[in-house]
This record gives sequence, C-alpha cells and structure tokens, in this order.
Amino acid sequence: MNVGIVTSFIVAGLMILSIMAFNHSIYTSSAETTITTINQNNLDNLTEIISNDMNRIGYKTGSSDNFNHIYSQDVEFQGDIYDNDSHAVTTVRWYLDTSDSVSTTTNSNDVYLKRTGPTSDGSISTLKYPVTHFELKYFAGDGTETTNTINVKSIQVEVVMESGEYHTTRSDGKKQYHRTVWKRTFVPNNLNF
Amino acid sequence: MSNYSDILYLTVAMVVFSILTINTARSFQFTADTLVRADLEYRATAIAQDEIDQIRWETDENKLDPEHDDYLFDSYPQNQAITYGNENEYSETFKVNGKSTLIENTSSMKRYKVTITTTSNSIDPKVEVSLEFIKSYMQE
Repeated sequence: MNVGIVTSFIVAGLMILSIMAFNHSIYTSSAETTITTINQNNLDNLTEIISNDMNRIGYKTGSSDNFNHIYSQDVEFQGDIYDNDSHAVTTVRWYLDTSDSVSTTTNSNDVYLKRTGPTSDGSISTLKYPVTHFELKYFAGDGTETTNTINVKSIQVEVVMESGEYHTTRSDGKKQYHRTVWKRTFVPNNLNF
Repeated sequence: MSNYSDILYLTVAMVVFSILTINTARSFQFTADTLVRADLEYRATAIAQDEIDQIRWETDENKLDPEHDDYLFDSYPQNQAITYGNENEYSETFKVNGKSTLIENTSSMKRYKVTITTTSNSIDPKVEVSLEFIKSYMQE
C-alpha cells in the first residue's frame, strides 16, 4: 500500500468534508437572511396599514362612538380612511380568523389576519395577512383597560409574525422559523378631542 | 524535492481557502447582526412613538417644565419590560429616557422640545433610538 496515496486521500477527504460543511453553512445563513428580510418587510407593510387605520378612527364621522365592536382579536370601527378616494366614512374591520389557516406555507402556526375595508384602488374588499398572533387592548382616558366602546381613548396592538418557510432544522427535527414582533399603543386624535 | 513543493502548494491553498471562508463567515455574521439590530430598532421606535403619543395629549404644561416640581421626566430613565406572544412568553426590556427643553417663551406661547430615547442593551453595541416632538401651549 502506497502511504503517499493514502495520505493524499485522507487530506483530500478532509478538504472535501470541510468544503461541504462550509457550503451548508453558507446556504443556511443565506436562507436565514433572505427569510428574515422577507418577514421583516411583511411586518413593516402590515404595521403601516394598521397605523394608517388606527390613527384615522373617528376621522370625519362627527360621532363620539366610533366603534361597532371591540374584542381582543376583532375590532370594527368607522372613519374616513383615505383622503383621496370616493368613499367618505367607511367601516373597517380587523380580525384574526383562527379558522382560516394559511395552507400555502409549511408553518403550521400562521393564520390569516383579515382587514375588511376600503383599499387604495377605491374598492371595499378583504385583505389577508399571515400572522401567528394578533391581540388588541383598549384603554380609557385614565389608562385602565375598558370594554366600553364610548370610553376607548387608546388602543394597543400586538402582532407576532413568523416566516412562512423554515430556515433550519434542529437536531430534534423541529423546524426553526424566523419570528418578529411589534407592539404599539395608538392614541387616535379623534377619540381624544 | 517535488514532495516538499506539493506540501508547500497544499499549505498555501489551505491558508488561502481559510482566509476566504473566514471572510465569508464574517460577512454573514455581520449581515445577521444587522438584521437583529434592525428588528430591535423597529421595536424601540414603536416604544418611543408610544411615549410621544401619550405626551401629545398632556394638558398640564408643568409636566414638561424642567424647573417645575411636577416635571414628568424626573422619574426617568425607566426600564420597560415589554411582553409579547399568546401567553406573554417573550419578553424584552428597554430603557426609556426623556427630557424636555423650553425652546420658545413668548407672551402668547410656550414651546417645548421633548426628546425620547429608547435603548436596548440586548446586543453590543447597544441599540438606541431617539425621537423628538415639539409641544406648544398657548398662554392666556
């Protein structure tokens, strides 16, 4: 047996193994980066629409009671949501439809957060956003939580969003999804005059 | 002699390969760090916006007057633990600091510049977000 050839094979084998491990590491990092960026962009888009809607609650309604109902995962309110559309005051509803799971992703936790109301193209329709958690809390002027629509002065919105696809699989077989969260308390002008 | 040159070639190749892999790994580490920081900044900004939203409706001018006993930011900085999730299973602590400066004082109006700074020490170097807001009070 030629010692030189055997040594060469061992060295080459180690090199190939290290290159394969490095390649796997690059692939995983790349996938994680891409998935994280997509997830953050999705959350950013969603929070922009929520912020627009929440800040316009009661805008141009001329009413002191601008909510049709307030629940922890479902809110319906009135306001002039866009300035340049053909609609004046419209009703907007944000709700978590736990019966409607997202079937197009591998993530089993995501369900649709739905928004029914006016959209930028001038129509009234329902938009759907995959999230894993959505929670609303309503506060009165003194900072206490309230369930009375007349008393609501501020609204806390919490959204947890996970990526639709996993970026790594743990040694126990569990798939790892990127998770990002957002929590804000809105104090809409028209609820506080 | 050719054996020695082969070993030399292999050693140089391995060193070059190692340098490349280290640089690539460092680049990915930097990208991951940037993404985590972006996430933290996003949440820190939301907390600073919450504070400013509350201050927008502050009717008591004394709360923004640094010379007054009722000055709102005397009790700052404050640590705020924010919880997230179905059963509040995730938690994150931010340090919130605020200050108010009188920037205009006329017979008809007083204007204060309020600065809210939110800091997260979850990552090194820390993530810090500052938002400014100008609040005016009409003088009677």
